[in-house]
Amino acid sequence: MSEVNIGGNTASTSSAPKDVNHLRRAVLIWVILSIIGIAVWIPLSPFILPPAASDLDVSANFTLVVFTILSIPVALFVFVFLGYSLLTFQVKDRPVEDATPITPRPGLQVGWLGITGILCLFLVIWGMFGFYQESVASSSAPLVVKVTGQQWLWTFNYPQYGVSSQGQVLEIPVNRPVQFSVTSEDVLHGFAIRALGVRVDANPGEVTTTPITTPTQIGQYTVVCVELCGLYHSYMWSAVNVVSASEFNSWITSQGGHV
Amino acid sequence: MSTALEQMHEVEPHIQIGRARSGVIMLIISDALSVVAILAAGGYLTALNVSGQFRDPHEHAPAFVPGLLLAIAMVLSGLFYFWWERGVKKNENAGQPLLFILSLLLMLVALVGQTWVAVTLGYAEPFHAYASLILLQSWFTSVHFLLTAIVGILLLGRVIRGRLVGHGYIVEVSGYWWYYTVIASLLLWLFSLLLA
Amino acid sequence: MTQTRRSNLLQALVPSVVSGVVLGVIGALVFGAIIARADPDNSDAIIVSAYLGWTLLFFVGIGAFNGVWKWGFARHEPTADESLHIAGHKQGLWRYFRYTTDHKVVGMQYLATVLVLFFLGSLGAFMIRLEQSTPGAIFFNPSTYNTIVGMHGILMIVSTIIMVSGPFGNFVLPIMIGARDMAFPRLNALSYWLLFSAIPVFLSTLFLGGFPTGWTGYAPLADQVLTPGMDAYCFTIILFAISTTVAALNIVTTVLVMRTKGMTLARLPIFVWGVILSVILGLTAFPSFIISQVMVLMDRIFETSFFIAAFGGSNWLYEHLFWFMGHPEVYVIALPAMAVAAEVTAVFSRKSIFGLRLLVGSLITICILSILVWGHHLYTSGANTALDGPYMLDTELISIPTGVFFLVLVGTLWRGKLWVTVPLLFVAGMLVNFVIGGITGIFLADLPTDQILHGGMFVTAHFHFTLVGSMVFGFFAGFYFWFPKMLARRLDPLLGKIHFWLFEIGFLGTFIALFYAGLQGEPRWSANVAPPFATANLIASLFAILIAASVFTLVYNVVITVIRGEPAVANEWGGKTLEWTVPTPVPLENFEELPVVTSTPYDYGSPEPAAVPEKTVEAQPQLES
Repeated sequence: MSEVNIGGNTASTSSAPKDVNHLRRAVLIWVILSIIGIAVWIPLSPFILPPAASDLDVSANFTLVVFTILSIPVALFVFVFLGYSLLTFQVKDRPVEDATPITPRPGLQVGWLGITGILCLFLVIWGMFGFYQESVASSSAPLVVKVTGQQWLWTFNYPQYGVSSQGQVLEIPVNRPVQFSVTSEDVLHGFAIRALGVRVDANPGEVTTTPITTPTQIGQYTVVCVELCGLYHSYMWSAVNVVSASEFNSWITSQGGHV
Repeated sequence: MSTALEQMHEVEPHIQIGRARSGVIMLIISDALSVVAILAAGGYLTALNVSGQFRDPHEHAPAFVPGLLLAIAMVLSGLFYFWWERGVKKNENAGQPLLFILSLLLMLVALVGQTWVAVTLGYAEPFHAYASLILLQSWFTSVHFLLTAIVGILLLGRVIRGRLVGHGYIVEVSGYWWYYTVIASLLLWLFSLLLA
Repeated sequence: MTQTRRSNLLQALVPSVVSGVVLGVIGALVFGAIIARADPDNSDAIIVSAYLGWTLLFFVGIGAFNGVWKWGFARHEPTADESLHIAGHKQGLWRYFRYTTDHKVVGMQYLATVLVLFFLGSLGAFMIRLEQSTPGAIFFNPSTYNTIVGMHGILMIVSTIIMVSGPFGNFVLPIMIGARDMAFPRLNALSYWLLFSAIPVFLSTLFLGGFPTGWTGYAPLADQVLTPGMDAYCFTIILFAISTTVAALNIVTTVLVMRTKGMTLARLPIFVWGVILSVILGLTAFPSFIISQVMVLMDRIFETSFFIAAFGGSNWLYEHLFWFMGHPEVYVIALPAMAVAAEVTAVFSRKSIFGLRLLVGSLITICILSILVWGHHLYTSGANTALDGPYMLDTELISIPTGVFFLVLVGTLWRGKLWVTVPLLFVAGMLVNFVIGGITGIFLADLPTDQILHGGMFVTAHFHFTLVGSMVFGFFAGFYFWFPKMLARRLDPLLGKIHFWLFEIGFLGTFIALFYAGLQGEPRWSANVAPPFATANLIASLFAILIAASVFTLVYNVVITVIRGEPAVANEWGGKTLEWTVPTPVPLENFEELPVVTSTPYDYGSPEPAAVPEKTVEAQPQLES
């Protein structure tokens, strides 16, 4: 009833290289792969993350990049030590004797807890800082856009200009702080613009607001619904046009509002 | 080999008592958490008062006196049960069955009464959040009484068949559930009085 | 048919699942008809009363109330013969189709059901990947697609909650602690048959128009009149939650009071720790879920307004009630699978678990912390709680005990004598996937990144990496590990390895592609995939074909093994926990003599046996050559 051994090259099974070598080798592999991993990720990240079109989104994308950099050595630690063990300490067929237990050195356990604790603390502080920045990011009064979600479309109002957008297009000027004030007519919807880094639920009977964000790039983006709201949830898109200030003003006038 | 098979379903007395206690206590914890969920929901919706529509002006509080009478019935039922249990513990027999029968009767009366209260609350559709909560609380209590009444009737069976002798722990452990029903119903009644 | 054969057949059929189903259907029709007379326009009331009728009469028909009635009104306590009969003694295969109390029977029933539910859920998954392989809702209309998404979700969630505690928690755990059965054998049968009775209720949604909410059942969408199929969801959840509550109190009581002599808490196998912590968590989490579904049903049937904003209700109430359950629930899923992985790793490294007490402490910490983090599902709900910060802190904190899990498993493998069997492969896969799943969970736990990732495919990929890539892999590690003990046959190891590699490669490909799509901003629940995300979704769907192939490999392996597999020996792997000391197949009473335990089951490298039977001193089970 032997089990066929898996994994091609059976590394040394019976000979016993010194433990210290194993540990050092594994750590070395880990360090080298981590450096390679981070070195590959940094230039690759702009291709994996979508372009950021607002200060908020730039900051969020940056957070993603930094967290990934931190994650690479953490993940590789497990992959390397796991793979190393599977390849090196593998015994062909069923082992006939037991292995000697490793006496857990308290230093190792405390060290592990300490390092994971510090990493965790770093992430928490970073997150709190980002959260704080969002909540106080107010300058002069932002452009307020009132968003109403319903099954299955978005409508946008500009109360400061007395304009309601026909045909669900969201038009906003570049380089001007904007805040979305969101509600729903019927069920829960989720208002999200990835490129601007904003997202908040649309709740019936409540008005919720996104953090203030400032679009930094002219272009076309999309509003999507991110809370399942029934039949045509995945058709609930709207176009977002980030345009220059003058274009925005002419758009307002064309919609019957006053600048 | 044969002794092992016969031993299999005979559980030692201290294990019988231990498992009964453990099982009923966990059941109580689970049920108590659902009571907490209802109370929390009530507090939350009151605080939110969404669209200012938490309570419609026509949605009156439930009548006080029937609730009071039911509360009294509950407390009495618990007391009778307690006296019965004390008797059982002292004598290790079935105690004074009349006490238990009184306790059970009160529980049955409470069941009928609570159901009547729930049916005659008199709210009109569509129910606002307030009425919804009162309805939930009333029917939930009614279901509780029903479950406890069923336990009581089964216990009555044991009393009639004389199968409580030597099984005094059953009275004690069923008592946990009985007292819990009393307390939970009083809590929910208090909740209905305090709700907005 | 002769008289005796007719009466034998009748005895076999009544009570059994057959009589249960027959009576249940009658009950559904009768109750439904009564309400249809009383309130003909209220389709929700009719449906739910039909479900009530089904449930009540199913349990009458299967004989569940016999024991209850006898508890109160029988003239004497159950005799040994009666107990043996209800435990399935001398009933052959029929015992699997009756209200049998033997924990091994219940374990097998759970195993079969879990595999069936997984299979059905996987079909749903393949349909989802089919639809998402190209933009536009082409293969299914949006209503059908939403129902498929919801059914896939619930079938998988239900399966993963019970996948380890059900089959192995029932079959293996009592033997592992040296008991002859569970503390409440009748409740054991009840917990299984509650699950069984919920399945037709759930599947009936297909004939009632399906349900539009996905597995979370969010209100007020759940309150919309649309289709009565939503009631199936709500009622299923209520039945299922009661089932797991009953199972939870059974398992905890069993471990508290039925341990054999010498099995102190310090010598408890890690598997037992994982299962009891998980069910305790479930016990605390499910009541709020039940209440939320009761409220939805009340909204639907009686027009109350728990969740209707126009009359003072709030969807945030639903979200709180749901996620108060929903977050601990994933740890209900995780803890047993993690414990299985630790158990399996020790056996196939021939080494004691590295840092066992640290691991137990971590599992307890995860258990406690997980009750306090549900708010992270509401970061972007707009319920601007001042508690967002504490929720984030607590969520991130869970990563620390979870990290300990990796330390312990890698430390156990390190310098062990590794026998790379199929169970160990699945543990390796679990470790790889769990790192990725855990790390991406951190991304979601942080407020600024959740802003852009919530409700997108990144979340979907994250929870598939954790629930499927880690926990289902843990289940399969346990499955291949305990299969020889439970079914007395050996699964083909080559097919097992093919199953693993197809699954892992397919899984990684599918969900890494979906991570990318999520980073790009693709929302969840998309019947209609937007063109920017089309390529990533196509790649994901192609890799999913490998997963499908792995499922069929598994099915084939199980089928041929059951039909003509090699018989297994009592201690297939050289494990040291108590289940490996009993014969295969396991006799009804488990142990001839109850063992006395003298050490933990991880004392590899020590010459003393871990447990001795009370009377005779048996040598350590010899390793088979």
